[in-house]
Amino acid sequence: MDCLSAEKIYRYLDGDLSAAEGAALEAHLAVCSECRTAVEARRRIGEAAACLPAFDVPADFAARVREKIESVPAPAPESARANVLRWFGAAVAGVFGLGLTYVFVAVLSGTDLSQAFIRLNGILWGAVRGSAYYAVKGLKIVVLTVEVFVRIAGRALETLQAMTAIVGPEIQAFVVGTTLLLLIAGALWLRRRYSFAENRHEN
Amino acid sequence: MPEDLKSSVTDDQRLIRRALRGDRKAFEMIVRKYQQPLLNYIGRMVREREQALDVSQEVFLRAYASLASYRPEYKFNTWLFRIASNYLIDSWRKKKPATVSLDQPLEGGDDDGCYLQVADEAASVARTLEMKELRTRLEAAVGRLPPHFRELFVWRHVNGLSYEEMAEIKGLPVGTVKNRVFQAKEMLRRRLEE
Repeated sequence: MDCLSAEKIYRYLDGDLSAAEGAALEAHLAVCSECRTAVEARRRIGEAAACLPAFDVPADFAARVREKIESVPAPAPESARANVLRWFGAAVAGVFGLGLTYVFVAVLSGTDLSQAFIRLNGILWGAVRGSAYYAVKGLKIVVLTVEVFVRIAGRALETLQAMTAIVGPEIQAFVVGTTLLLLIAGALWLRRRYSFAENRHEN
Repeated sequence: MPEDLKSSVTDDQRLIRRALRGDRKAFEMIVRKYQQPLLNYIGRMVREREQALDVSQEVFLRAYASLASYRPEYKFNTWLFRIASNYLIDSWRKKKPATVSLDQPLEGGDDDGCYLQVADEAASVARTLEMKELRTRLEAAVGRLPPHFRELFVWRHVNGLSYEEMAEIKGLPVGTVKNRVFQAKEMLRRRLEE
């Protein structure tokens, strides 16, 4: 093996070499004192850099930043409406750009300008019709899914009614109570897990 | 993602949501969490303590003003470092920041727990002194690196960012970032050997 390049040494120190490359490099280091020195010099730079002293942050730095932001309005999160408008705007701009490009290319390739617009019109209407067709299909799927869920819920309700006819009121009360407790515990767990309690202040 | 890192990211996002609802105390907590790494970076870029504090404050104010544009799929520190980096580039374009003598020592703990494990106590003391001297010379050499190399070196070796995070901040390929960090280290090594 030839002596090591600086890049190879850094990749070795970063743990970025494959097992085979690392083993070959270490075998070379065992017999080449020059490369050992080169590796050691570069390792020490990394070690020293990791130990460079931290800048001293004044104790009131964060409070000073807070004082500054007290005088500015809170940054409002982007509303869903603004998001929809942005996407809609981008889509309109995209369609407009593509349309213009189409007309430009058609005119360049010898098509009459009015013919190019007529064709573009046809393409756009085709796209609108196609989108409407798939939107109706999607809507049908949603309606069918809701119907299936309603049927399942109906069956579940019937089963529950049949069970209450054969189970005594104490057991019914126990089942209802336990279910309620489980639901409350689940809601509390979810609240903790996903931090819905935003207004809780931490210090 | 390691559990503590995951928890830290979740904490950040909780604090950001609170800050977006107008809870300025939550943003102060974000500042407390990131002031040290940010100042370690900015301090080494501008090389002057008071200016570094002013720039850090401005970066936090900019982060607050554009908090609504923060996307939770990114780590907060990479977003903050990107704001800081852009701010420094802008200010350098307008006016080169004042610098101080490279011999001026940096503030901060002299003895920060960076010990090397050496069996022999005398050798350990010698090695510690040697490392201390190396650190002082390295600090001066880092200050003389061209800014775009210095920035990447500090992020990698002082702030402990990964190459992927640095590539994301700078919008560069990971390979380019690695290459620049290697070049920065080679420049430092040559300067330390002078």
